[in-house]
Amino acid sequence: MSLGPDLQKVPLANIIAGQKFLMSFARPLQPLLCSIRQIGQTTPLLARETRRGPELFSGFRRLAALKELGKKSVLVLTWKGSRLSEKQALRMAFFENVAVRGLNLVEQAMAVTAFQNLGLSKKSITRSCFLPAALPASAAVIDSLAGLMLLEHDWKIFLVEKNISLRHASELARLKPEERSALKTVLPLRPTASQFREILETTTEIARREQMSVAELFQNSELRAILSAQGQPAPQKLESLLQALHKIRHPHYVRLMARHTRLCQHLSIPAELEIVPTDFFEKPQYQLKMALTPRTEARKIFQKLLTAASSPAWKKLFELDEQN
Amino acid sequence: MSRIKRVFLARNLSQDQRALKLIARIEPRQIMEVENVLAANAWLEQFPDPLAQGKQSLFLTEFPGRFLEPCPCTKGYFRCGYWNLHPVVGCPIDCSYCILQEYLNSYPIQVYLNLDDLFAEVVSFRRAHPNRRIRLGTGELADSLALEPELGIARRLIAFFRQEKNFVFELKTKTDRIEIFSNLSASEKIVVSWSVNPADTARSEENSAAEISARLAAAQKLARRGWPVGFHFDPLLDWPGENSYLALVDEIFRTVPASQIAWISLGSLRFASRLKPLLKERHRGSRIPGGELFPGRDGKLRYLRPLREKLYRSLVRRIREHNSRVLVYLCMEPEPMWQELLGASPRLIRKELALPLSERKHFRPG
Repeated sequence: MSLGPDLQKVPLANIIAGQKFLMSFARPLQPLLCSIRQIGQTTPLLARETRRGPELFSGFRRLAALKELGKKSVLVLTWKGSRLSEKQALRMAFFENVAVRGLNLVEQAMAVTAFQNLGLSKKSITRSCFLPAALPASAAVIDSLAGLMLLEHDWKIFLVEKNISLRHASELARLKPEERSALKTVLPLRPTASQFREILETTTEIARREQMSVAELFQNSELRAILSAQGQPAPQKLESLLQALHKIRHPHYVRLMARHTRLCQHLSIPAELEIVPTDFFEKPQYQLKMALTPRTEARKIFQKLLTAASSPAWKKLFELDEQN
Repeated sequence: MSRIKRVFLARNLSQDQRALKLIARIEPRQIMEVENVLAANAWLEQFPDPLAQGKQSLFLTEFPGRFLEPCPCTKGYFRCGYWNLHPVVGCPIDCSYCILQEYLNSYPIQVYLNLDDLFAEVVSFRRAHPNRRIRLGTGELADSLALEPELGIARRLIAFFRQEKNFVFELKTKTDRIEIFSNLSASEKIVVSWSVNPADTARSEENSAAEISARLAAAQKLARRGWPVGFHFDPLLDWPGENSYLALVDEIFRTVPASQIAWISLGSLRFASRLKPLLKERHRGSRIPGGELFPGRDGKLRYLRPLREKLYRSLVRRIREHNSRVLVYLCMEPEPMWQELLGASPRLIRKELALPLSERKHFRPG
């Protein structure tokens, strides 16, 4: 009697492929289809024998590819159920997948959920699975990953495609479904990962400050107008949206900058000069920038600057009371 | 009942009488011997929020370094001349904005048992600098009273500093735990001070701190018994609004005789940007991450200078209306701002801060 696993040819229809061990998400099947079509199945599926038949625990994508190619039987490495517990099988599937292709964020979340469903504690998942697999882990990380399973399918796809970090993915998962639904209106604008992070952070921070939901924030007339504008290309819409959010996020700063621009216009300084606030107005000083060309008439420019410096608007530049 | 659930004890102190007595007094549910604080950290990481667990845990050890250090303040801003003394590092109160969440390298509250070394260091400092007047306190990396009387550290520090000539010693707290003062006579060299914020804000952002009314009642009790008291409007936040802060100033002057107020400090919210994700994660109801914060000269995030100045100006004016000689100073702000808003030389303010009320020439509200 064999103690180890047996390599068998098994009718494909007999394979039991449930959700229990599944940790594959948003992986293209095409490369596998291509490979199997060319050289056949070179790596067996992994299964444990049960009363109902061989239960697949690793090789879900291979199985899907074989099915699609119309194969009737498949190579399976089968362990006797009594020799390989469900927990052991899941752990094997986890390490096999980590080693062969790595796990994206949603797959990590699926793995955590699978381990938790089989009764593993956060500590066990951290110490006996995630850390040995060189995946970042702690009780907090495990909780965050488990939370991602609450996300709707579209969001999971987005997170994986854009390679969004766990921190931001968790922030998204903590929103209420109606808030995520409001946020989803920006996805057709095809934001990059960093643009999405900015939108997520800005909207959630405004919502916190104003003690409203992200969904309520998206009722803002300016945001609605931008998002519903017809005929404008997505990149332009996205740029307008980011600018509008910036205005809502930093109202005092925007006001100070507008005042600054107004005062600079009053000063009538030459076009070659620019007066620039330093460190977000933190220092009571400005930088003077000057564009020089061979034709620059420095004397005239400085004379105009001297005139500007004696005007009331110049003094006001330094009186930064917010009410001014 | 003690706030402390568990005690980690440094293995080399497993038979130490100071540690054993302290443990007997605290009666923790769990006692664990560990090699060092990293081992305690590792143990606490089994929880989703190790910081929260750390606030209910002590690590008893000895501190091999210097207990007394000048407050580093922050790059590019004016120093108030404060010195930090840290027999305890860490705090059981869980304020959303607390920088210790990202600043410290340990989850548990570290309690250093070698207090005799601390006293020896202070004596040696005084001998080396016999003419130097110093204002110092234990409230920068800990709450000075939150774990009293269990720890018994504040009581020993009070006994020590009331005998010392060159120091004004501050116990800074957000609690109303003033039991240890019940049998003590007042000393003008010991100032008990409270960090304050409007009641609603304190309730929402200063988790497990005492209500503001309780803090003020505690201040009133001590002030009436002759203890000098102080108040720190720190951190000032942007959403309670100027009027809430002004009302709090009025409340303080209604509650506490101005003659007993050693100082009032004003400091607006500031923190290193790396605190923000932690703050968002740990304090999900906090409004702080929504604040309009920009990096200052030191890289820390703060409100825009014009907004800070406006609030400081109003507060200083209101304080002066109550008493023109109460000493007001700013925390982590540039020198020109001190000069402009406080109407006195920053160096003079700094000098008087380190003197007991009776020895001051300018800022003596009595």
